[in-house]
Amino acid sequence: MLVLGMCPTLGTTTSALNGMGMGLATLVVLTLSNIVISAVARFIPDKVRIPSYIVIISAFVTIIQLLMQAFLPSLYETLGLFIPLIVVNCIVLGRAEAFANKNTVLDSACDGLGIGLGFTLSLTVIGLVREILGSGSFFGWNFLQGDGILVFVLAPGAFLVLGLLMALFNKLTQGRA
Amino acid sequence: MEKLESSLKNMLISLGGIALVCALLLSVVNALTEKKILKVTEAKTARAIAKVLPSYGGATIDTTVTLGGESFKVHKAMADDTTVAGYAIETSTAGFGGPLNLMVGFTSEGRICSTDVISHTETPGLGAKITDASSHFRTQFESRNPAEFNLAIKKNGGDVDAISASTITSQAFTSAVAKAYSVYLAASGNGADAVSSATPQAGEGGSDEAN
Repeated sequence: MLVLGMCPTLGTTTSALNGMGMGLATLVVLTLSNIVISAVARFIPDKVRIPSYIVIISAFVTIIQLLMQAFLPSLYETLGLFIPLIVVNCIVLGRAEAFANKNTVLDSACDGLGIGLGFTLSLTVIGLVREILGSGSFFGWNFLQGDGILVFVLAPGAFLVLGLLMALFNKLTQGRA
Repeated sequence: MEKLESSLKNMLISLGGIALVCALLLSVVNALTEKKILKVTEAKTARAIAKVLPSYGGATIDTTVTLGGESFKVHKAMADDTTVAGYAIETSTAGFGGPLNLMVGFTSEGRICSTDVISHTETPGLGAKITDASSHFRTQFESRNPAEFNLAIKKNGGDVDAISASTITSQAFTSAVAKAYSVYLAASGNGADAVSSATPQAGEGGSDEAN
């Protein structure tokens, strides 16, 4: 199993909504950068390809950051630092390097959407598990009075949930690979 | 489809071109969102002021007070053209997990009206309880006059009940309120003779009003 983009996965998934917000922001950046990079890849000499990709990706991230700050201030406050960090998310650069620069614009857009949706889904699931166990709520709706198992909202809980979900995933996909 | 050769000219043109286009794009988006972001930030401050000075609606006069090398934003709520109805003061201290930013409201006589947490990075479930405005920890500050209410947690010899298991956060919150009080004394001026005897630190930090 390939494990990429761990920093936002562990950092932002304290609730399902935060995980989803982060996933969607990454999805938008990933799709847009895939489209642009696949369109301009043949005009970029090989030796400056990584800096060019990074410039394109960071431009999109900054645009998303400004838009989110203006129109979704509450989400921006919770995600804060993790938005600029999308620039160095290995998934985004990884897809640019492994897929977008060799394929057509349409294929790259689909690739970005697919990978982005998968990332959003996994962040939402991790966030949901942590939110249910840690704060006793479901997408912000409290079904439990008082605190849950606090460790799940803190950093160690992220590792625990991630490990358990990966174990589950491996169990489910066993024998198929 | 042959790739461009990695010659110096090609590299300069392509990377330079990409950087130029991205910079243009960013400046356009920045110009489009700048006003909106400013509005959002202002609305947030206005909401915090409304929370800490609930009885005074309307506009405020914003000044900056420098005290002990730090500058603080002071929002004066005016009762009429000349009388100040209350002060909303922004302060910050180092909390347990990072900076802790508060808005503290004072009546014109120097009583604490209410407090509001603007931003914090305290531990969820422990220090983050300071955000619960109806908790005893938060309500104990309300309508107190710091001249007769020692702004330090009980463990440090003060009058404030700390949140259990969150001593550092409680102390940080309390000292931020105390800082806001010194700023209040400096900003109001009139409060100084009435209450300065109980708060020696008010006279120390050379205060000057700017803006």
